[in-house]
Amino acid sequence: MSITPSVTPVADVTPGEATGAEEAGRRARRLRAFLSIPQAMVGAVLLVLLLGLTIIGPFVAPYPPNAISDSPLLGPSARHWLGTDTLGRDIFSRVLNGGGSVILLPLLAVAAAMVIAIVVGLLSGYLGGWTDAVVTRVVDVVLAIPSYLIVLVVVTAFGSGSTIVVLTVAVVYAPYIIRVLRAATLAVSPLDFVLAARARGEGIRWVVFREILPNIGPTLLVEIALRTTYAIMFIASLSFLGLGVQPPSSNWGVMVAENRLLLLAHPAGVIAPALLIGVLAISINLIADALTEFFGDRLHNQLMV
Amino acid sequence: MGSAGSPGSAGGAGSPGSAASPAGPGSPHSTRRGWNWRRPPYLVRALVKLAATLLAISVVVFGLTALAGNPAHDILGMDATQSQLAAFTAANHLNQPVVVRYLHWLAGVLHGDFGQSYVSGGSVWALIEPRLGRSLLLILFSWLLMVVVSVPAGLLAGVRLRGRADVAATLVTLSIAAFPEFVIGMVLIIVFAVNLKVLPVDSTAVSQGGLFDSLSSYVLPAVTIALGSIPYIVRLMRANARDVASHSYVRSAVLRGISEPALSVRHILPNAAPPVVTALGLQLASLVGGVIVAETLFSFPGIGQLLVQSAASRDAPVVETLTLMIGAAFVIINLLSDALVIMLTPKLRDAGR
Repeated sequence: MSITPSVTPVADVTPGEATGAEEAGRRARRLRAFLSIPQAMVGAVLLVLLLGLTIIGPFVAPYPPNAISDSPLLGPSARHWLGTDTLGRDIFSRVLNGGGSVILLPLLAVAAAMVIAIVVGLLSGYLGGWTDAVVTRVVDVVLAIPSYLIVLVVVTAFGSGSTIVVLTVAVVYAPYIIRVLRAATLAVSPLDFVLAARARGEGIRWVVFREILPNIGPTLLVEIALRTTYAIMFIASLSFLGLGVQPPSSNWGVMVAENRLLLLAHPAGVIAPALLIGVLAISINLIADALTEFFGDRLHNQLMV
Repeated sequence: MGSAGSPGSAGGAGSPGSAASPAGPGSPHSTRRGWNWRRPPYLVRALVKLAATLLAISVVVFGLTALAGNPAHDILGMDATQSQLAAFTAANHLNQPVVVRYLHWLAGVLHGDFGQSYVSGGSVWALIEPRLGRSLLLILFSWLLMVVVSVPAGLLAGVRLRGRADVAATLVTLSIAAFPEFVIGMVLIIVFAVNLKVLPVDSTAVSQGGLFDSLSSYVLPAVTIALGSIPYIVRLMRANARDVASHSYVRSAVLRGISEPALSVRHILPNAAPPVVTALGLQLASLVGGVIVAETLFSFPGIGQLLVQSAASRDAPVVETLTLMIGAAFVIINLLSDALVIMLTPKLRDAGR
């Protein structure tokens, strides 16, 4: 058995279900059932609030994020709600502008990691044999190196910046997801509907992406939510270390880093961005938790390999 | 299953049966009759795996930095002259083929010579050596703190499932887990250094005097690092204790009238421990991340801070050496925790020999 070349998972992911009114009603009911879990509701509300802040923020900010609007290190006042930083930039305006990269970069990294992991993990689990052996070995080696070290080595080699960090985090996270998806694929592969598809002569692409992939959906969703939480914290930490998004960006991680030396005299510049990162992570954590509970039984059955 | 199970799967359910099968039917202790080439002893397999992993790490690390090309421009700056660039390239042997450089470097590392720093020009080991002891002490403190807090807390939460202690533990761990380490550290600084003024704001004092002279400077970084891992271990311990507590032998012990502390310590802890021991080893990986963040946050002069500074200044020899050292420590600790799990689990103990 050989791997079919040029597999394009994104195109094949679309489930072949009818999207009639009945289907829409079923989806709405499932969404309502999901949101009836308290964690899901709280997480969703927090996330919507933060997304709103991030999307509307840049338009309502009183000053441009990098403009020197007043004298440096002013305390909170009516003109500057959170005061100004060392350079005289309005902290409130910077906070309103700083959410975009905090949310977007982890999403990009997780999306890229997912694409890699879905292709490699599913094929590895389905094909078995030497493909599986090689994938498992490589995954073990990457997992044997702490994530921070890989990022630091890449930054040493290629310099820092958001593109580098997104790509590296994608490569670092892919093995974790590959391991989970491979296990789920192993559990699904011997089931009747897969055997039936093979018996009627479907190709490997159909079997893997149309039969197996839709049936490990819950595992995939939970993994996406979990990995997004980790990626948010990881990329924010890298920005804090000065290895990710670079100043003068108003990224919340960068803001904590540049204002932390003035923590004693001027805490608002640290507390506001740090708190927002925390709320973002909590909201996605809660959603991940609720997803695990929502799909609990199915997920449990799948992962008992 | 090939030569040895992956670190994560050693505590899993599948390993006992599959580990026993290659020994052949009817001869579960074939090693007693001499050397079995198809299945060498655990220690040999573990050492081979250790060497292979380290070699792989060294290839990846060196290959990545080599792939990026000549770093002369990044190190010397944009206004370096042609002759300065040539001198830098020659001094660091960057004009030789990658394979030659790799073998040269590897030979040096095996002899304890880690090369010269691009930035300082001095030996890499001279940069690392004074910082190593401090960082090891910091890691030791935070790891001990993690074990001492999370194992009892998880056990208590799992035994008194859905009781008040369980709800409290779940709430606290969930909210700690939601914050990245640098935010947790920031909160600790605000509370303990700024408001209560009981601990130093940063840990620069660590570099003065002997290793144990400024222990108060270790407290906040160690707590920050530990808090990054405690939620994970508490939840794992809780889940394992819960599973063990549902077994019939626990119920029969309860019916015999055993006290709760005795039940927890004598019956539940030993049976719930193996996966947690594996995790406590694996957790050193995220401790490394915590050390890097906490040392930067607290200006702690250790190897984590050196690593970040060297990465930012593109000092490849320092980063390569530190990565290899931490990678080696990590792999060795995983092997030790695997061995400990095998010793703790009678089923694996008999099969794995």
